Amino acid sequence: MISYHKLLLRQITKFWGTDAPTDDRWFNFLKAINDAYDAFENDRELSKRAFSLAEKEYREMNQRLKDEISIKQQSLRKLKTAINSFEPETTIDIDINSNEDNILDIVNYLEHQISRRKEAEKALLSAKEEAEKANKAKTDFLSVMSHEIRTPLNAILGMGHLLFKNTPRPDQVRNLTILKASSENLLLLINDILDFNKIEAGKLELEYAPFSIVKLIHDIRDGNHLGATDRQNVIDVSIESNIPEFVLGDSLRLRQIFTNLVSNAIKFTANGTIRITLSQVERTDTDVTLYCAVSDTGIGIDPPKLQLIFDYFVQASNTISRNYGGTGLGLAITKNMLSLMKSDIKVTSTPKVGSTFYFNLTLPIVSEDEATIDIPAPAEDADLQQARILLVEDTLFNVLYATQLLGDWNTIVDIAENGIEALNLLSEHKYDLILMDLLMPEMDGYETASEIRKTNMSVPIIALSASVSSNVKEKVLAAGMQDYVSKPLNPSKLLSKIKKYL
Amino acid sequence: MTATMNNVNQPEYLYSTARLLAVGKGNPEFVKRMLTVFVQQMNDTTNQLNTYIHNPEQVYLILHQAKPSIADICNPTMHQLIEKIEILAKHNHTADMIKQVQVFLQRIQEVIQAIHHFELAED
Repeated sequence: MISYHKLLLRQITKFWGTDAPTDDRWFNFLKAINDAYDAFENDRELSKRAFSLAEKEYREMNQRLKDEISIKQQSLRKLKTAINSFEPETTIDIDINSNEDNILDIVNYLEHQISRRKEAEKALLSAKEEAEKANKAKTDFLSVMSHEIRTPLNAILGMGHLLFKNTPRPDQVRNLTILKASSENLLLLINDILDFNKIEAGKLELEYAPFSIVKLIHDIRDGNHLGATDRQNVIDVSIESNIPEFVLGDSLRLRQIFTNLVSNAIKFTANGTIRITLSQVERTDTDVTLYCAVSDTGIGIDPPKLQLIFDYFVQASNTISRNYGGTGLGLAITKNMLSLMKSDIKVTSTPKVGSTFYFNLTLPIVSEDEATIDIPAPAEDADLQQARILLVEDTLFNVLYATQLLGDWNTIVDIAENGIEALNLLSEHKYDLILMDLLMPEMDGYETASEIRKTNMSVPIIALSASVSSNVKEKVLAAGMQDYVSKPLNPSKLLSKIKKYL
Repeated sequence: MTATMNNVNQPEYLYSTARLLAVGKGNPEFVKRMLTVFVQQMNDTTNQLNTYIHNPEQVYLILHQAKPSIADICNPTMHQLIEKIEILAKHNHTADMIKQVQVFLQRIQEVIQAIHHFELAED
């Protein structure tokens, strides 16, 4: 029995009653109508669902658009606030509810601002270049003038010195003393200005040479002794005993730094003590870090002024220049020089108690042997009685230099240009002594010596080193060598070492 | 042969043959030979430095090799300059090292020219 659509069933009932037609043709007809009803019903249901989905999507899209508009409006408000905070006088009228044109206005405004900013930058750059030119002109002028002043000033100082020697009258002595002191102060000032100019122009370069730091400190004490005594001051020196005697650095500038600190300490101290301290902070095979300090029991510095005193032309108070002299250049120059030496000066101070200026300084250590390059006396005469010497050296100049000396001393010399050649020669001949360069291609001096010691413990080996580091001796001993001589060779030192081991 | 260009006590001199004369007991042939070798060595050093000027390790090795002969012949300031370069090279301060190497190259050229002119020129 077919299940008819409810509307069709109602029509059948209405027109046929309960006697529904059973004829096949009618039945097929009704079935076709019933299928049409069902199809219509399905289409209606599908349309209904489709409309329902579209409405949901529309609602969501609408919400997204509203959100985007809200974000855009907030962004515009923030942009306007930002522009107004940078330039309060700017009034950009932004209608946040209708903003397409406003965005264009803002973009135009920003473009205009960028152009203005670029022009301003260009003007600033030009002004900076002008200022640098002016500064260079000033620096050049100061430098030239300082040099020009220094020449006649030296003549004034020299003449004053000569007048002093001509047994002047007591009144003349007083005047000459003033002349001398003023000239010396002026010379110091001019030298400060020249240093200041060099630092400003980046032309202050450090020299590196071996020097005795201990001697330098004692020289500083001795050189300032009279000035200290004049103000009833005492200079104490405290140097730790383990400090290496010789280091590599710019002794001239370091002397200038200590002189400046000590003379300042003397200037601001009366009837007190100035102490120069030198102690070792750290030491490696090659370098030493020193703690350097100059302290005094003088007038001290007010805490707010402590950092200012390292600025150019700044003193702790305006009365200092009047009462104690100076220009305020010394400490700034000192700080800059130490900065070139990769150090930083610091100060602690208590008013009416005293001040301590201190810094750490790292310098390469130099052995005493290498600390001086002296011109040798003519090579000594010596007879080494045909001693057979193996010279292991790869540089022709050094070979000729050494063989000239060794030949004069009646020795037989064989040459090896590297460690491998040396080992070959050693397997063929017996030598009384080996002179061993350390830095060579193929096999260096340390490795060669170690190899030699595997089979031959008796032959003395003296290293030839151009290194300034202090640990060369330790390294050559560790490699099985007996001693070392520094290059350039000093004939008498070389001879005495050879004699020692033959 | 001009024994020295300047007196050794004057700091301005470019080079001095005083050490060579002392070692060679005044033998001018020895001095001339040493100066010839020195000039050749410095030409090699110059070429190597120009090649490796940006390489601190190589610069250190090249100058370390040249240092003894420079100390024997040149003004002490040259020896100090090499030690300065060695320190800069050792600490990898390449930019500063290059500047100083350029100073060295310029000065060593002056020394070579002076030796050529005063010592090695044919009469």
